[in-house]
Amino acid sequence: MKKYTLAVFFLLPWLVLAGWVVSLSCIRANGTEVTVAIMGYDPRDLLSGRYIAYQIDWKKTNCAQFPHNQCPSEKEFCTDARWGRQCRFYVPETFANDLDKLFRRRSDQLRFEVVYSYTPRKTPIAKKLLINGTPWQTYLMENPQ
Amino acid sequence: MSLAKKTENWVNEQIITREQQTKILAFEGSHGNNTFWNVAMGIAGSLIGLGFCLLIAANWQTIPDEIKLAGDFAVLGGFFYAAYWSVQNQRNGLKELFVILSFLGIGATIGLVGQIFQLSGGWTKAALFWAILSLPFIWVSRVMFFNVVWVLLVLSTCDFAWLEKFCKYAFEELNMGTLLSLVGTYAIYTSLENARPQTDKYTLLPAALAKIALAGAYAIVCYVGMRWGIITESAMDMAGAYIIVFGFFAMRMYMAVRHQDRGSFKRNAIWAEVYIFIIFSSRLNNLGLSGLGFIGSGLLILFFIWVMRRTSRYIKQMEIFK
Repeated sequence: MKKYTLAVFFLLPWLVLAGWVVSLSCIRANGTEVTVAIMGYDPRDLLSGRYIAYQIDWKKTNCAQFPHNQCPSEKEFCTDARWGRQCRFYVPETFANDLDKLFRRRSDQLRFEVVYSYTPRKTPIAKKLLINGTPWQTYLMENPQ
Repeated sequence: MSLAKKTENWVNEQIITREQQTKILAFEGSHGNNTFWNVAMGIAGSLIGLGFCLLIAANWQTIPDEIKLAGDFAVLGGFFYAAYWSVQNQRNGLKELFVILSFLGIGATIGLVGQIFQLSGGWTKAALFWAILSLPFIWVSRVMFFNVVWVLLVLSTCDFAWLEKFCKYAFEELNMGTLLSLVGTYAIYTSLENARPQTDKYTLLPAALAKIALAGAYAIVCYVGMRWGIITESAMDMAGAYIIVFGFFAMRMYMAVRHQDRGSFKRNAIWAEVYIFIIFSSRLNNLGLSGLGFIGSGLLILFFIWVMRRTSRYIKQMEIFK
């Protein structure tokens, strides 16, 4: 009995983590894609390590993508985010400096957006970071910094 | 020194007999010296491990998310199984190793999932999730350090606004709040210490919490001693700080005598002496900057070292410890 109890005891964390990943994958796969405009939370502190901290710019976002043509409340996106409720988008370390430069120097000329998988009443999951409508990887390849 | 020479010395010092020396040398001779092979295998294993890490790190961006997750879960499953196997087969050293790897693996998995799914959750939720999932592994661990780390992980998820309020209550000025926080922290330590005989055979977590509470009590005493005993100008605060600091050390020494803990008695006596030394040094003011002051400071340090060594020797011979 003790043998099986211990096995269950040790297996449980693995199952919980696997279940978490499956549920996140389902939310990401089944949600509607919405694109929201973003702005830097603080230009001097935009890139912290390997993620970009941003805020959603609801004034520049097309609310027609959402149910009832109404943008959701600010709290619905990035509900758990701290430090001024900014959201995060993780980027590979090698591109972090290039993206930082783009945000700092050319944020007024470029359009930054994030594509979310959105399901009402569930935490939206960020899928893509767009620069002028193209994925950031493509943009950096076409416009090396 | 070779084993033959070492054992010869042991025989001369009458630590072992000639017969025992012969047996030791015969045993060691028949088993051979594996140090070379162990070192060689260790280096080879480290190189292979490092190579894998570098290979993964260099290609991290090109590895698809699914592969990253699958690899992570496979490794994590391996750690969990190895921990389970070690517990079942009573391999305590291996058990602790895989418990630690499982604990770190859970944290790494949460981080990886957060990165892949772009989760914006703060530290609090991630740390709490990590602590809850790693509880089964910490529960079976008998290494105090990791139990302490786990308790600190849980404590890091506490509301810091509450901690700020507590600090304001306890440390804004030297008053009953300061004393109550010290007594409260020490009471938590004492109650957990009293519970240890019943809990230690199952888990070291209460013992770990007791250690943290004791460290907290010392931190409060240290803060009180430095802020109000050394830095402040108010004579009342200074007197209050001395009463708290020396009272605390005296109480700890009394408890050490009651529990026949010579080590604890010695540590607290030395701490009290160190504090007296700091008080003396802080009163030197500009005198310490002159030539004579340097000589005086040096002599003072030498004197205190001498006092501490004498104290240490005296405690070793004290008859109150059986």
